[in-house]
Amino acid sequence: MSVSTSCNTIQERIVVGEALDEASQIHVMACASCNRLVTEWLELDSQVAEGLDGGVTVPDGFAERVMAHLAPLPAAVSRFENLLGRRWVQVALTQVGLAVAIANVLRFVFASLVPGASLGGVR
Amino acid sequence: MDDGFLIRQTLAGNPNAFRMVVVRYQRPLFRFLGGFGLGQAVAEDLAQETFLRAFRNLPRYDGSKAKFSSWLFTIAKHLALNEKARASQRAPHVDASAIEPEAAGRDVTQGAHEAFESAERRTRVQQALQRLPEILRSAVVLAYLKELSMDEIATVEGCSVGAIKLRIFRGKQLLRADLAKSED
Repeated sequence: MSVSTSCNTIQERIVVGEALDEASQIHVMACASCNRLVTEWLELDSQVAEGLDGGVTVPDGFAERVMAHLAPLPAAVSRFENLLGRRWVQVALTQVGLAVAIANVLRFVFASLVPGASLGGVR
Repeated sequence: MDDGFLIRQTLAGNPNAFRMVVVRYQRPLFRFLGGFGLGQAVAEDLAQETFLRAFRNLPRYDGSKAKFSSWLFTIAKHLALNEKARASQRAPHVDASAIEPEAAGRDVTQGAHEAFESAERRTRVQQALQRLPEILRSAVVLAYLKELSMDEIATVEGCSVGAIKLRIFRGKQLLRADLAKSED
């Protein structure tokens, strides 16, 4: 890596606020350009960090206030209940029920028309 | 105790676990909301709403998709942006440069003079932050909080790590230029 590439990479990381590895930190100490940049950005960082929150602070007892507004989470459901709650399971069960109902109606109609064919029918 | 453990405990019905989550994140969350230029009362309401929404949606939170902190800050960010949009509809735009520093400086004693200067610096930073484009501001504030990694900030902002680095870079450049101008 050339010196300028190294400077570019390190300076990019400094500006973005990424941590520097040890080799980069040693480079910064020795390189006037990187050193100047670090000083400038550290100054900006401390200035912004001081004014970042705009004076907004956490009031006393905030956590308790949040906790007072919490309703208990719904109790955990069993796997079977969870499975029954799924839409595709409900659709499948409905279709099976419908098929059984249709089969029963057909069986009844068929038995009425052809009594001998029904189970237990007497001629 | 890590977030994953606290979340599992909360889901198992241990209320103390969520209290720990609130205590852990309340300070960075307030600083984040403060970075949007929200007042104390609004920041309190939004911070509370953030925690309440997080709690209510905890059963749906998927730890494999995002870290809890990213998820929490995403909720806060959406609430803050909605509030900013609502506020801008409610009132005409107020020029940030017209906001006066805190009244501490009206007293001319030495201590009050220092307080005034400190308040003035904070106000300048706040004004510069509020002048940043919306898309850069949230990324810059998150970077200054130092609570989230670049990956996590990218998750909150919904973009790539490369894009987030560029936003932070552009945002800091604008901040620096703005603050230098206001000091002149």
